[in-house]
Amino acid sequence: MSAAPGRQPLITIQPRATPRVVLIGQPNCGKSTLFNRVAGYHSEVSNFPGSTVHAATSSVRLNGWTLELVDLPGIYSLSACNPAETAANAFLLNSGADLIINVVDASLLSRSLELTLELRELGVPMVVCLNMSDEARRKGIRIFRERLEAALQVPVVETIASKGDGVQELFARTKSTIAQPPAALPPLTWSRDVEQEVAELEARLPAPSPRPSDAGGSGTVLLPRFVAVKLLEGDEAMAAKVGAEIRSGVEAQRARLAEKRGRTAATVIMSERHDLAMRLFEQAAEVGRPASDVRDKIDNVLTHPLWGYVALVAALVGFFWTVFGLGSLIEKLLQAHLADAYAYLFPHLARGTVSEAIVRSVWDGFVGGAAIVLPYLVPFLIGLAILEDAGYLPRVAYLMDGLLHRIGLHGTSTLPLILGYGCSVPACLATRILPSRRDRFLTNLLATLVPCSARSNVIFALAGFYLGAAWALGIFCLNAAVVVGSGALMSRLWPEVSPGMILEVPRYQWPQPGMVLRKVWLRIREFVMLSWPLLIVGSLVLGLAEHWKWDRLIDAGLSPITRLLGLPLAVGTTLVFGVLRKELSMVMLVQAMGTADIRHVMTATQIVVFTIFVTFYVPCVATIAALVREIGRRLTAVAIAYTFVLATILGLAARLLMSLVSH
Amino acid sequence: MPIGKDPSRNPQDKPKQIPLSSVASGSRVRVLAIPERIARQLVPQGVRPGEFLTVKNRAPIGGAILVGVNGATIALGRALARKIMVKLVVESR
Repeated sequence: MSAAPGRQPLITIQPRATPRVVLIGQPNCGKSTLFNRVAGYHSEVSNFPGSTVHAATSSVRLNGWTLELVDLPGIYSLSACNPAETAANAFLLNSGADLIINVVDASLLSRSLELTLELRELGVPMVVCLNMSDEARRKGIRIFRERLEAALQVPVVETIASKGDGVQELFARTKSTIAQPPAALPPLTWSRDVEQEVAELEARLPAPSPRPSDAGGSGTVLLPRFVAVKLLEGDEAMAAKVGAEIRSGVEAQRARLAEKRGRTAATVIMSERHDLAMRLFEQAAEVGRPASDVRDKIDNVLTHPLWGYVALVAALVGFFWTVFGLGSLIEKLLQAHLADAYAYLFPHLARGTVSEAIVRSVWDGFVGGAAIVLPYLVPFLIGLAILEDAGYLPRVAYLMDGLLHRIGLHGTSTLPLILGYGCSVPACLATRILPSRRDRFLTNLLATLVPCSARSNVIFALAGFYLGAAWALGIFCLNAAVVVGSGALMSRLWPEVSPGMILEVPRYQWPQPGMVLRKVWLRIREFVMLSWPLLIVGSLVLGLAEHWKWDRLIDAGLSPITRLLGLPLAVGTTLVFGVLRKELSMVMLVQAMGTADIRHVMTATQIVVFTIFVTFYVPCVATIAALVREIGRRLTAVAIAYTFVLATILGLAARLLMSLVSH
Repeated sequence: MPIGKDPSRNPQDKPKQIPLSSVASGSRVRVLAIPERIARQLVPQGVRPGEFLTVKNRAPIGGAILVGVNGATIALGRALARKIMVKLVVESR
């Protein structure tokens, strides 16, 4: 175990004014919790693998020292298995980190050390953050920090990020490591035969050239050893970067290794890394008896083949009941007070004047946001954040895997589908943890069919409020059935043997009120800053259009659809606005019908048909943009056409069914 | 190509190879072989030949299997578990 002579040190071309520090670690190790601890709440944290699907960056000032902190998606190794991991790897290799903080779940140290060893070979200065050290102690794992530090030759700091313990020290060590970058680390070597192959390949590689950095500042140079190991492992991205001559040499070496060891070269390298990690673990830790953990008993019930499903149904029904109960209570209160407020504020406006149209429509837009959207959105987001942070969602994925298999998906798609009940945009982003393109398309399509909170508002505030809670629940059930049916249909059209679910199920954690509220705020901020003003402007445009009778043009244009569905012609305009933001279709309906009491102007059938149509038709503009990014234009067009046809058929079916029942 | 032949094993004492999907919950098993294609994803998560797994729970009607490995818990789809060959170490009571 000694440093080979002439080893290239890390070359930092120009020290950046603000150092870039990258947090990297395996899923659920607490990277994002740590990030939020120091960076404020800019990054969404969930107790679900893959919850960070893109890099979150924040400029952080700590004791007068400024650094750029980057939170990357969790990865198990430097060989990517899905787009989220690919993004993390690309960032790590190309953007020139000045220092890596390798966040490690201390209770899973032996496994996590394999990634640590890979990262160490990057040659970038590194600090290891032994996070969740309280969990490790509870599991009976005693870690000797100094021994680990001595073995790895990098600083090791114990933290409990959720409580803030050790975070100060972590960044103090980070700062001192950046100020005085260590000399190149000697590699921790493997078996002699493998080392020979690595050294042989290393010698053939061209001299490293500086890599470009996106920031235009410095870039990191990949060490020849790192490149050689990746090539021997069969990393395709790395193979694409070297010449054909080297590639064919690599293939010969891989074949030789496989011949010698009786397993593929990739397996040989993985085993070498594993053996080394195990040796380090045995040196640095002692495993004793774990303390009994009540969470294991809870988990036995919540993942039980019978009680698990009982609990799941109870949780979902309870969840929607609470959201609806709270929402309608708040809505009634607000509506009553806001109607009084309007009469009090504007007592002298004459009906039919332009100023009255302006004031009334702006007011309606404002009230629409306050009294219709917020009562349902806030309780929903709080509930979802609690379930997420507690770590219940991966259990749902486990329980649902068998069912989702029948519609051609697997449990990993649960997170996007559940997130879809909040907002379709993060749901589409979350599909990046799926390895197959076909699974991503299907999950994106189904996640956009799931009613987002805006559409849930329409369901609650129209069908629920005017016809009763049972109707709202019925529409949610219809939606779930349609999602299942669409999945089954699509997987007939695009069958594929998917590799199946591999999903880590993290420990339960107590949701922290501060984290939950900040997460809710982060998700609601977009509504308050963007949608609410848009709602008011939309309402104003509609009010003026009505005042000057322009809306009739739109309504006439959409009359084939509205006539087909037996809806009042005036709802045509609201459907157009609904594509901008789904909640607009509800607010605009109030505006277009000229009354806050829809029951006077629409029949029960019309309310049901309208609600169903709005629930399914065409994703909103923001979702379309997200879809284009995730699955491409062609498949997005397929998704839009599908949802529109589906909404029309379902609306029509509901109309016919309702007329049969009422006669 | 299946990987993970254990060289230290005595050839006479051939354990019965069974798929992980057929193991009752509560049992403890040792992994014998994993197909290369899924090993790439499983090995970094700690499921590798030679490793001991505890089957914690099984979801009904073709559902997933919950296994404990080295302190972590991983949910595996049933079809995937069918391809992982194991031998029983401790049968569930």
